[in-house]
Amino acid sequence: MRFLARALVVGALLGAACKPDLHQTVSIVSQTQILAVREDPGEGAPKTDIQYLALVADSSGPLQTPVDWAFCNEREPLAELGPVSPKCYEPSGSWFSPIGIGTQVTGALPTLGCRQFGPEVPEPQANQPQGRPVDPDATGGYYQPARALVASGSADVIGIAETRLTCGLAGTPDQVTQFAHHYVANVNPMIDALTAGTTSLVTDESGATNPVPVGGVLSLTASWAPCPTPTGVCGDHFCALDETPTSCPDDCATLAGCTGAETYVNLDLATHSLLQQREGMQVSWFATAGAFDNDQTGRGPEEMTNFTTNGWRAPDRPGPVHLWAVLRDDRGGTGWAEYLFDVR
Amino acid sequence: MREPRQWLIALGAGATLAPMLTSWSAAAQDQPAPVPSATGAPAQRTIVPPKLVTFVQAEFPPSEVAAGHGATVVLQIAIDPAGAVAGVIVLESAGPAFDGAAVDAAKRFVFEPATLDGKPIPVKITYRYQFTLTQQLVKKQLADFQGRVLDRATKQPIEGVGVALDTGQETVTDAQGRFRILDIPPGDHAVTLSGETIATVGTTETFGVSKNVDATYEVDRKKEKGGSDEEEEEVVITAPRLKKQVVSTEVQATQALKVAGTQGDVLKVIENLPGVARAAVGSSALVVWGAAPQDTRVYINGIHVPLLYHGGGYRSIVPSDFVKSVELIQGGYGPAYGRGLGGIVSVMLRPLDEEGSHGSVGGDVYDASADVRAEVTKHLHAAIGFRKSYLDTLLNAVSSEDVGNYVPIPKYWDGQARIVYELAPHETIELGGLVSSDRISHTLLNPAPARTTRKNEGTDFNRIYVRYEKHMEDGSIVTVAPAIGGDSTSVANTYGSTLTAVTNDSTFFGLRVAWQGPVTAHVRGSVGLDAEAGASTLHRAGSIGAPPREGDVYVFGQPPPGRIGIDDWHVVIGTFAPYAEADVALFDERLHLVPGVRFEPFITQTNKLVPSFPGLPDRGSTREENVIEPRISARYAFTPRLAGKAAFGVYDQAPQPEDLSAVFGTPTLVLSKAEHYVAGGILQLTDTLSVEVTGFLSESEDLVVRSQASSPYIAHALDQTGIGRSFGTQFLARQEQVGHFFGWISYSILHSIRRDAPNLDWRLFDYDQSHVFTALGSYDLGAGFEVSARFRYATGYPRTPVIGSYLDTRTDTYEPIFGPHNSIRIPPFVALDVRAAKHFKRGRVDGEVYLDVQNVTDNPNPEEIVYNTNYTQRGYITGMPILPILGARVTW
Repeated sequence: MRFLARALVVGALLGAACKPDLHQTVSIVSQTQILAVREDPGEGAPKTDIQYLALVADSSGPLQTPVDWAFCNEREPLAELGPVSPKCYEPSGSWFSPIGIGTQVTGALPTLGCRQFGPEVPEPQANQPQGRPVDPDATGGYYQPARALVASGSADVIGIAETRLTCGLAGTPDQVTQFAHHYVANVNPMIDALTAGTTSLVTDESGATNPVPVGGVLSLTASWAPCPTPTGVCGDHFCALDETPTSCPDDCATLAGCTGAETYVNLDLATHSLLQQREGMQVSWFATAGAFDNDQTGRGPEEMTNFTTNGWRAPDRPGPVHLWAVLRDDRGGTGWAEYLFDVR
Repeated sequence: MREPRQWLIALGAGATLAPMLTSWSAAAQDQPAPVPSATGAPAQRTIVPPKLVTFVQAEFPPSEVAAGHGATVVLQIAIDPAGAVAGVIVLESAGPAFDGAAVDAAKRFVFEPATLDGKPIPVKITYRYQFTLTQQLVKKQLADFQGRVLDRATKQPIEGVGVALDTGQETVTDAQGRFRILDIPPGDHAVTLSGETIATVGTTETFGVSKNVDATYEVDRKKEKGGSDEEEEEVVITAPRLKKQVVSTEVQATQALKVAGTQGDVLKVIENLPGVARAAVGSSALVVWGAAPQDTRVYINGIHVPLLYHGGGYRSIVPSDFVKSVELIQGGYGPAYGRGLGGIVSVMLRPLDEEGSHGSVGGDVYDASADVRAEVTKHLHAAIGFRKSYLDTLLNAVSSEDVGNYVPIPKYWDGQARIVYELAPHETIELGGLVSSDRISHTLLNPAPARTTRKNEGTDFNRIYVRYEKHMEDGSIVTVAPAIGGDSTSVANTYGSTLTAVTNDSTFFGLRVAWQGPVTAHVRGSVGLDAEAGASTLHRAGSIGAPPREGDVYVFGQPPPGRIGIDDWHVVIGTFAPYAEADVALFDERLHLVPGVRFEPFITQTNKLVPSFPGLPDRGSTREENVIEPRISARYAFTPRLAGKAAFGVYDQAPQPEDLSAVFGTPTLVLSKAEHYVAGGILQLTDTLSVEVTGFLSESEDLVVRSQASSPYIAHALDQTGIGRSFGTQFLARQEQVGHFFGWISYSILHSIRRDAPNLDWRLFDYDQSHVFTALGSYDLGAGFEVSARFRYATGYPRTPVIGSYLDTRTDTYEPIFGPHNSIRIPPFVALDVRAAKHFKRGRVDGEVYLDVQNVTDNPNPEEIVYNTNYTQRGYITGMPILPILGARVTW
């Protein structure tokens, strides 16, 4: 009876509409795929040299394949709902500034980045008025797009990297000054450790492998550095908005970032006041075989823990398996670690 | 009461032909034997003579006119026990021509039979039929009047309706609802229809010299009395409603209740009418003739309300028991309405004129409702209703899981209250209130908080109105209806840390003053004032691209853009529109030409022309736009059963307050405009079966679209470079209630396109549905059982295909690469719904139990296109599976 009632009720819902059974998993690498791009440093002003590093893999593992890099200088139309202009994923065009070809390249951020993609009044486009600056994201960030193109069989693989720009603040002079004294450019996060249960896994860089039985299920925990948490007390290693180098030299004399969930200064658009907020962290999991419980896991800004867990089931066939944990913070910073498993 | 009137008919006709019942006698051969009394003596027999109830006028023989004199024919008429004329014999001849005319007429007489001790008997009477030349000559200057009286709801004939002219002539309708009055002096005469089963109605007809006026009147039956039948009926004189709209479809609540797939919700019948796109499951969008949902305005008793359905479209905002009828005017409407580029939905509430107390209680899996209507005093009636959904509570009771985390569960309630006071005969004042509330909450948790989505939406509105209405003796009507209320909408959605928040709190003011009535013999007029004002306080935070607008290129489920803004602003939009319209009848009423004009000044006030900046004051603006909107329609009756029609109108619509943000929109937006062109015809195949075909074209301009620029001027996020075009044909074959059946077939073929900027190509409108077909019918099986069925086919909405994807490495999100805009469609929707109901009656209580089964064939109808994470696979979200809804309703 309970089942019938439930069926009737649930059936009466809009949700009775059925979703198709589509292949949603992207964590198992089966073809050439850009898994991540790391910009180093994780944030920079225009003209800053940025090193771009692509993590490209296929079912056999990491690929050292040529990646065609170019800055995309085309501003996004307001009518476009994606993150960048559709021109940024076209094969070529005058709006691209080549950076180089390779898995790892370095290029200087375009001079007009903060006008094209930031809070400054933009350059007028052809047949368009000069007007509206770009809106920031929820972290107050503006981003310079860069296209990464990997030739792969019949279709190119396209990734769009977005480098966080240091452009200042669209606030009052006092806010701009205070912001400049407290804001710390984003630092790319790093995987501190990956454990399977209580066992620490060794990274691929060490050349060692991690044994795992065929079909074995691992509970993976990825952790990152604990960052200073503001307590409002001088000496907490965090320079709060009400602290200055004079009032609290211990915290404010030198501002430094952190490879974990950083607390940073942002302008609250609702109150037009500065506030400090914490990054959320997300780990994207990839492997060349097996199956993850979730493609991504993470922690929200309000969660103070510095780790996240995921389940991974080793494949039923023995052999090497590459696994990556890609850590991203809310401000666009990226870091990853690679692990080689010997499934036997 | 009937008898004197019928003799009066005979006497009235006698003024021309002077028929006289000169004598009567029982035919001896057919006379029954005397019945002995209990005492053994012959009983005194009681014989009642026959009475003429249907008199037929004989034609004055044309061949005898030249002779210059009249004549008298004495007839013997044999009348059988049923009152029919069994035979006619000429006793005194006046010549073959006069004899033949008199006999022919007398054979068509109908009598109440003579009785002997109460039992009908055959008799023969002598009847003197007098032809008077003078009268005949007069008759040539007179007019005849005939027609039918039908029940407006069922289209069934009404017997016993008195039809009276201000000349003193009157008659009563027969079993077929027919009436005929002869020899009416030329000119305009007031016609009054009255009877025990209808409210008295009046109108004016024009009678030409020697003309025959043929009219069909549709009138409302009075509600059944719950109290004493002996109490006097309320008599309200109303002019017959002008059929002003060239294209409109009206459905009475009594029919709409029975339509399959609506769960007994009268107002859900709208989606089955021609010209209306099928709304996707879970959507309450009302798309009429390819216009955007916000372009079609909804009125309840003439008061504008912001929505017709609760969220998700599961239920309308007014319980069925409160509804008298719902009319959809797809376009080309007259000047009494405006401010919308699309159609009009007009819901008329049920008159409160019942005696005693009545009410209903009903419920199904979605909600329960109750209402009470009561006669407080002889002149004061009141009604109150309430409905609340309980799907969320029901789910918690039957499910251990928090289903609400996965499925949007609509929560809604609505309430209505009305008080009607009769100030004087034909003069009422009503105080009413409507309130409605909707909430939808939905959370999709994700192990990665940055991908958790939360949705919280709310919509509330309320209206308080006063409606004064007076029906004049000359058939004119005066209406004054002020209203006040509030509208509130809120959206608070998050995708990770990206917030999309929109709130709009508005205060509504409305005033409608109208007069309609006869101006001259051939002209009926309508003048009025339609004023509205809305003061809105708005807040919005989030991306400029969320929520999406019509014309946006995106896919279902796509995360909102990450760039955010915030704005708080105020908007006041007020209009004050006088209008006038005339219904000019020409060529013996065969042509009705209805020109009209509406003058409407729009005043728009915003408090910000540019985004706020700390330390700087906001600067607003007030501007006025005056528009003159000509409207004209015409109907021409080629024959009594075939009519042609055409209409043209200009319409303007103020920008939405949400679009006047300095951050998310453009504070200086002006009016959008549309022109409607309508032409068609209607063929009345039988008294209850009609076929109507209407072609239409709607051209709109200055439509609000997103700026195509990448760096538009500040406070110019929206442009008015959009133009639109909708054209097509709608077809409606409608069988009104005949016997146990009613139903209709509607089919619309239309093409709705938009061009967002001069340099862009035309594209399909997001809500374009090329073909919409609906066939429905209801059959009363008898013994309280009734069944109904509905079949629907609709082309799927256009969508933009995804032809590739790229990885946004900052968020690890695949983003779609789109193909041509709106170049594919969701596959068509096909569904058969069936409804079965059983009615019970216990004294004053009527009960109904129904089973409404939607999609009985379990057709997996695609409702939306979805893609997998990296856009390498495409699939469809399918709609309702076979879905039985069991409901019950009790009325008294």
